[in-house]
Amino acid sequence: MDPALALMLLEPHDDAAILACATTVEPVRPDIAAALRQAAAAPVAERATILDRARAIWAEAEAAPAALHPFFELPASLQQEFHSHHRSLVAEVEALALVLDTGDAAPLGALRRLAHSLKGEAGIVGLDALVGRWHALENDVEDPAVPLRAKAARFLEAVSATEVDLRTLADGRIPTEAPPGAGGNAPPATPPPRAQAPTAEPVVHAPPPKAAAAATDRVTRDEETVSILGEFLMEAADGVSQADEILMRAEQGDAETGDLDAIFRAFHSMKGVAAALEVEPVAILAHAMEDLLTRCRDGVLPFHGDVVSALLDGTQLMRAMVEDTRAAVERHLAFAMPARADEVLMRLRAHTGGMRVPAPTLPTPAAPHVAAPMPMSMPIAVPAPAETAVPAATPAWLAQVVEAPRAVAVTGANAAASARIAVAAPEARVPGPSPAETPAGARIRETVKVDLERVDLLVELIGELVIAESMVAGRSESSAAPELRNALRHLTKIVRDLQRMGIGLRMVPLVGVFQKMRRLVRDLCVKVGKEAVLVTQGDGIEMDRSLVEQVADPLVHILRNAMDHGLETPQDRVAAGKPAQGTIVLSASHEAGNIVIEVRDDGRGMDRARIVARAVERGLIEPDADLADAEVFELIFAPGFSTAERVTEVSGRGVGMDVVKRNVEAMGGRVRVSSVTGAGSTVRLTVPLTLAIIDGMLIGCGGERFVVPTRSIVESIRAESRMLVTYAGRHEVVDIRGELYPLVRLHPVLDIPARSVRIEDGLILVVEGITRRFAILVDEVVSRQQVVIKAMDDRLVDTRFYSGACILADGHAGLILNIDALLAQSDGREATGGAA
Amino acid sequence: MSTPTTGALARLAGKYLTFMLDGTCYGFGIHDIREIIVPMDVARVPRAQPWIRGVINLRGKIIPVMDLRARFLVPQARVSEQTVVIVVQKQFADGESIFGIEVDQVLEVLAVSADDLSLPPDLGGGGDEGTRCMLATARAGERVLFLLNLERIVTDVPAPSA
Repeated sequence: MDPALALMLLEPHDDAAILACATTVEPVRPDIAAALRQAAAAPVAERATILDRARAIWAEAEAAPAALHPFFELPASLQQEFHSHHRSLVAEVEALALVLDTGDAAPLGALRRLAHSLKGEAGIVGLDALVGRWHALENDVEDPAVPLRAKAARFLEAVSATEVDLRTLADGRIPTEAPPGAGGNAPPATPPPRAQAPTAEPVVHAPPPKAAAAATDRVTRDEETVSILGEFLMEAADGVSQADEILMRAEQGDAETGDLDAIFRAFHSMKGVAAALEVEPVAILAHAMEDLLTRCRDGVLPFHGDVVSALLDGTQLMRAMVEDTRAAVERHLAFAMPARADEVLMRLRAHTGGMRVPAPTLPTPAAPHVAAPMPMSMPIAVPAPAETAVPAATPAWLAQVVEAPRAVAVTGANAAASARIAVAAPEARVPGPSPAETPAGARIRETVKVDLERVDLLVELIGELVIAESMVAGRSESSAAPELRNALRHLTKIVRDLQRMGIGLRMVPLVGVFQKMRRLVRDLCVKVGKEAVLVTQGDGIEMDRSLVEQVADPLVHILRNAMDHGLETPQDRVAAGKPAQGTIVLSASHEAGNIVIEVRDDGRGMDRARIVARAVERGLIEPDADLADAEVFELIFAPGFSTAERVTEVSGRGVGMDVVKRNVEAMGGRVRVSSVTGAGSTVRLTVPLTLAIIDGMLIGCGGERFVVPTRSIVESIRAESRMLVTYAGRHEVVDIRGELYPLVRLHPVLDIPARSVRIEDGLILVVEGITRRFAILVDEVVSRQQVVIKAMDDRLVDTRFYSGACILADGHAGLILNIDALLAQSDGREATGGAA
Repeated sequence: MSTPTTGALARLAGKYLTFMLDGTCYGFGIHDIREIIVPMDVARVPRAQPWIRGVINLRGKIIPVMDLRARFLVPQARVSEQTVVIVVQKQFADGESIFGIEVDQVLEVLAVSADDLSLPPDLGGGGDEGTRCMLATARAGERVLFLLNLERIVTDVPAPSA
């Protein structure tokens, strides 16, 4: 058989076929053959993924392979790392640039450093287009002639361009040079600026007068700093281990090419980060190591013998320092140089001849700080390390920080830390560096990097476990022996705990999305000529990672509407007695197991009369319809309503609102709109915490099964014929304990054969719709079960009546009913007298 | 109706997965095909398009399955031993879709060269269901093969009747 076809026909459980296929493809594609053998050896559950990968490799080979850029010759893990790190740096740039855009110069220093790091990283992997871009920015940022806003704009442009480039890269192509004008175009050959950045540098503070006491001083570090320190220490420990391995090899005389570079990079970045975080002991030692390694790399010193043994002493000390630092953080102490540091530093510096600076000798209280007044102006005696192939070349300030002889105590205002805080939450904490008092016992949490795919797989498997468990528990409820039932109950508890933890693994804070929205509002202000500020609240609230992605799209639509139609022009606002600048509040909060995301503007509000008029015009409602406000606002979600140009221009709200509604419902959420004329509108999204699993009622209707989310169901009761009242021959209403609910018969609405024509043959579910409660007539309720929610592709299938798909307890696909759509359809049928 | 010109024809050369439907041989470009599975129980989707058989759980993903007979308006047939579902992973302008297409039988993966290709015949009438989805015809030995445009099969559908 054709190998391509054979590959496609493979089924995960068919060992023989997989192995046979491996043999077939062996001569042409040994790599695919290997993958297949690996699949056959793996557990069946994991095979599908491996097979998919093999198919993907094959498909790629079918397309013509391009000449390989050095970037693509890197191992996949490194490429991945480059992507994720670059992306996170770019996100930092974006956050800081937005602060800059408000006219606050504080982030300039941090931005320059980021641009510098980005340039270095891109340079290492040979992405020249990116190097040029960041280099130009690095120069720009220094230029006092360029106004802050313009700088911010250039950075933001560069962020967008880089995002595009990263996507290009992910698609397997090398981004090309940006068109001139994008973020300045200084020739990349100019050496990086070495001048002092004007602001926000972590200033080298003069040694505190009572240096001797510093080691026992309690130091306050806020939570954010602690977590950054934790990350740093983890990386540092990794770096030290790697260095040890290399040095040990070097001692044996079999250092490999690239070893020196790798170890150099490790200490270089350790030095940079340690200095920025003001962990001086580590910075000083790393700097000494780096100096020595530079000499080795330049061929001035041999990379073996004495030099290597000095370096090994260094790594040993570094290991101890990392531990000390961790302890110091946990006990709120200042960082101190260990006693034997002097000796090691001397040894290291003996080789570089860098004896001119006495090592800071904090533990000797008597040591007078003679050199105290000179740190800022002291010339750097040792030439800065070569900057050609390293990610982050040493900026001048850093070298000074490291070289400055001073007491190694961190006290007072913590400039570097406050710059970091600005990165994490630019809106709230930029002005005024006021490190919050941390509660006792600032523990550094140990973390482990895990491949997202594995997390997803784990969560998926837990989902399946939950289903399997509920199947077993359901069957044994009546039949099993008591001890088995007890054991099962215990199992149920464990499975629930596991489920909670699994879901927790995928939780990420909303801050990233909110930051994007801030950017969006800023860009829109320029575009639509309005003034607005976006205030965000609750961006620390966590949500399932996939939901965070899905919520971004609707938010973009909503904010566009708010900017475009909700907010008035500055002139109109002033005329209406409002401040010229509009305010949009984007907030997130927890509410009854859901997350509520609200967008509230202080614009003109929605024009009820216009919406009604337009809806009548479009035949959505009868001219004489008497609608509550909620029902009127619901009309803007009608498909197509949005595209009506005139309505959106005059009364606003509508562009893409049907899309918003669809997207949110696909996530199992709801949208509500409210508005006060002249005072603004609020769009409220209620979305579940997690996509993974919901509680559902499995109902039967005409031989089909559907899921109704339990949270929508108010009650279910066996109907009696006397409950049914018919108005005007077609509007059916059920009377449940004196409450009247409109009745929706599921069979005619879904066009499936009915079993229960008389209501007493079926079951009535009272459900909570967006606008009102109503009753649904179904044949039976099969069971209540937890279902794993899955997205449903609406490109091929008309999914109007379903809010999503799911996997039922028996493993089959199921559909989740969209009850609001059912109600709308039923209303339409009744209006035309078409009740079946 | 944009029919491919002769220049465009050459670009259609490549590998195709061929299959039978109602006695006729068709082909899909191989790069869009993800795998081939045996038909499984579907969950029907009431009120969906008539050619949607339903949705299935394909190892944790819910994908729709299209009945190509219904889509091409050819008479329904019994599901046989040979009936299979071709799982397609297709990139569209606004994202990717994975879905199944049920056909009578798969044949082989065929390399079609530019010489084997010719423009689709003019079937008149602006093309009814099915004919609009044709990319080109190819000759494979004795057999005539219709190469299909997957995108059109999905997107170029009659408007739903309300």
